[in-house]
Amino acid sequence: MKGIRLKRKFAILILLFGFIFLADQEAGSIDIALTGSWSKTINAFDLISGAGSDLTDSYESAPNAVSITISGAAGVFLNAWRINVKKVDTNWHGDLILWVRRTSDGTGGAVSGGDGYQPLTGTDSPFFNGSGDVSGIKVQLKLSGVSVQVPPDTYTTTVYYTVVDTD
Amino acid sequence: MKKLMTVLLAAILCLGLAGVAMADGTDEIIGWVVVEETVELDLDIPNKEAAVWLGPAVAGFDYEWEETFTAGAFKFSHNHPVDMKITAAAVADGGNATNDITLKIYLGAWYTLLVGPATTGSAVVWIGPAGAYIKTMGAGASATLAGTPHGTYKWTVTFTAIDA
Repeated sequence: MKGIRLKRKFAILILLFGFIFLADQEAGSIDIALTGSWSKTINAFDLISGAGSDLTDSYESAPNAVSITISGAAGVFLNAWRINVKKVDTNWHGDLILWVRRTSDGTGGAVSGGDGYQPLTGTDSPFFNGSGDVSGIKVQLKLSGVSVQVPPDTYTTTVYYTVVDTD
Repeated sequence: MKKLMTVLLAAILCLGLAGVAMADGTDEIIGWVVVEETVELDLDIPNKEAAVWLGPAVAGFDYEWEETFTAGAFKFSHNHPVDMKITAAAVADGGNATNDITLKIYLGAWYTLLVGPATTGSAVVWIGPAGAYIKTMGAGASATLAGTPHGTYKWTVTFTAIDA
């Protein structure tokens, strides 16, 4: 009987450590890596029809301006995750609106949502969802609200992409 | 069996806490927009010339005031944070005979550029905030028979936009 009890305790301990190990591996190691950036220079060439007209209102980046890679989400079970997005302005004009949308699924796990433009604000907003490791998810940016009412200056903002484990 | 259940619940609780508290990473990109100075002024007058004909309408009377207008001839865009002003400066052609022509520019109102026999003159013809503007533009002239012999008189009018 003693032998049986010992084996049961051993099995319980193994099970417990097993869960903790899985928890750390799946939840703690999801990482996000970005490449790319976008800049746009607007000048008199962007007047809609020359002198007497306003500046073109909106501008789009290349469809692959930003590339996102998610790693550490391909454990025994594919981890589901969500990308949140927000911007933190360094110098920005109130008329300018920055938008973001996902233009490709990348390769690897699964990705859904985020394929329509959504405006960026100063607080985290859900962007798109996915599961498992995915590389090369492309993102496009759009700037709107440009007019001659926006004074000449350099406007800078930082876009933060955060991966959140949703399992 | 009772012990096993307790341990499993504890383990699942650990998993849940880890999922909420530990499972995110953040990366960032920086984007910037450079809005350059945009000041575009164009005068859309046919051949860039405004011709005003002066001629006595009735014998025994002096020249009449004459004027000509071109709708939408003045086209201006600027994005300066302060008002801008446009100055029109007239310089008489070297071949002009001595005259007493008064030359005016219309841009919402009449502005006198010069009064002969002066050969140069200028006036501020527009002031305004950032925006896109298209306006009717005109030119007008008057003279006296005694002070201006018949002939052709030319001026070059240069428009300059600067901060007001």
